[in-house]
Amino acid sequence: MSTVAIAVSGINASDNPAPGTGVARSLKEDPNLECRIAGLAYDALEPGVYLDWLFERSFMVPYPTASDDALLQRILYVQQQFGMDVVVPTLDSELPFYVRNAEKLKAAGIRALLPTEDQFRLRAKDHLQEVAAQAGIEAPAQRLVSSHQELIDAVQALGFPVMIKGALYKAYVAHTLDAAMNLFGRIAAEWGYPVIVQQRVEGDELNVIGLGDGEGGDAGLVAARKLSVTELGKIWTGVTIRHPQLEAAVRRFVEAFRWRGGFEMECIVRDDRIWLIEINPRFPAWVHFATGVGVNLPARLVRLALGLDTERASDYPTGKLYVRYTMEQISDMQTFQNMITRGET
Amino acid sequence: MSDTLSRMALNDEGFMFDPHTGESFLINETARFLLDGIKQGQDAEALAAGLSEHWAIPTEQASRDVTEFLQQLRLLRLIA
Repeated sequence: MSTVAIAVSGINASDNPAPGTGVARSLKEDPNLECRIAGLAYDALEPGVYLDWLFERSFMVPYPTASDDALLQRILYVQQQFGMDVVVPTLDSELPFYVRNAEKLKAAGIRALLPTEDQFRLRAKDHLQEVAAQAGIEAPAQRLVSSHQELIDAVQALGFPVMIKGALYKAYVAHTLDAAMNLFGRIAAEWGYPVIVQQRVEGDELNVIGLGDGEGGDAGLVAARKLSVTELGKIWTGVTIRHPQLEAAVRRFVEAFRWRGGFEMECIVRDDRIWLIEINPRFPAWVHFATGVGVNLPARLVRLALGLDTERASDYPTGKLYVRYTMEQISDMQTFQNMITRGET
Repeated sequence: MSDTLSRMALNDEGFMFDPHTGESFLINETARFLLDGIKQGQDAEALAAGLSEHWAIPTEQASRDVTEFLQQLRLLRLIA
């Protein structure tokens, strides 16, 4: 295979890291994948811009909310300047754009492996019950609320503690009505309505990262338990596990929905019961953990996007530890200046 | 023996790891002794008798210790 030009977004490796740098690391670590990677950044200070051993170049791109045309034109510009055989978007907020414009990008020679619009909608928390049912597992009882009275009714029906969640982002536990009201207000102010009030389920939080081939099969899964998290709830350390019933449920989900692309399933497990808490329609920020234990999902995604055969095995050892750490990179003001003035490195 | 206990990885230093859930435990010599007995299918009475003989402690004390240990295992969902 000749050198593949790949664009990767979500290169903000901050205290709330996006998946992009983990994706890029994974791609670079595949000995059979010759690639050049362009970072797509929304801010000139996204750390990935300065990690030149991962991203040969970086380009500023407009937020997808600006307009489809603006982002589309910018992507075509990046293809012109750097080349782009495959694009790997990693942020929820931009996925709708890439899904909507998949055919246009494909016509321009840019391949991707993305969920369909219907699949993408499954991530919405009001679809949780449906997805859980297809996977043969449970979902916590929940109510969608848009007013204080609806919130009060919901917590009375579900009982404390409850989880107060935004439709797409944020989740907090509330033990009292006052706390629930406060959290409801905060989430509504930031993310709008509806706000989700969900039964709090006790158990082990186990997450699975995987890749669906779009034909009902998977091209790899890795399950992990978070051992420690940051104040923002992001994984800091984790350990690989193998939970047969959980893996079977994930495979049922992939088969039922013919999932296409990367995904993460967040579940609570207690004894023989499994509850689906969340589906993320893209790789999580800990994607490189899977690569580190021998299941390089980003590389497999790129091969599938290009229509090539790929390894599909999920052979990995349990008890492998994932330890995130903080590292500094010394760069030059010139790089920042170029991003600001020219929009590219 | 429960399926949970049977799948546990346990090393010589008392570190026990559940490969299904990722939970880990640190167990002392006494817990190790009792877990070995549980794996051999011993009931509470036999465990207490073994504990009493091995550590030369009164049977009553051994019985209370075994009861408490088994309760801990239940709370941790390691046995039914």
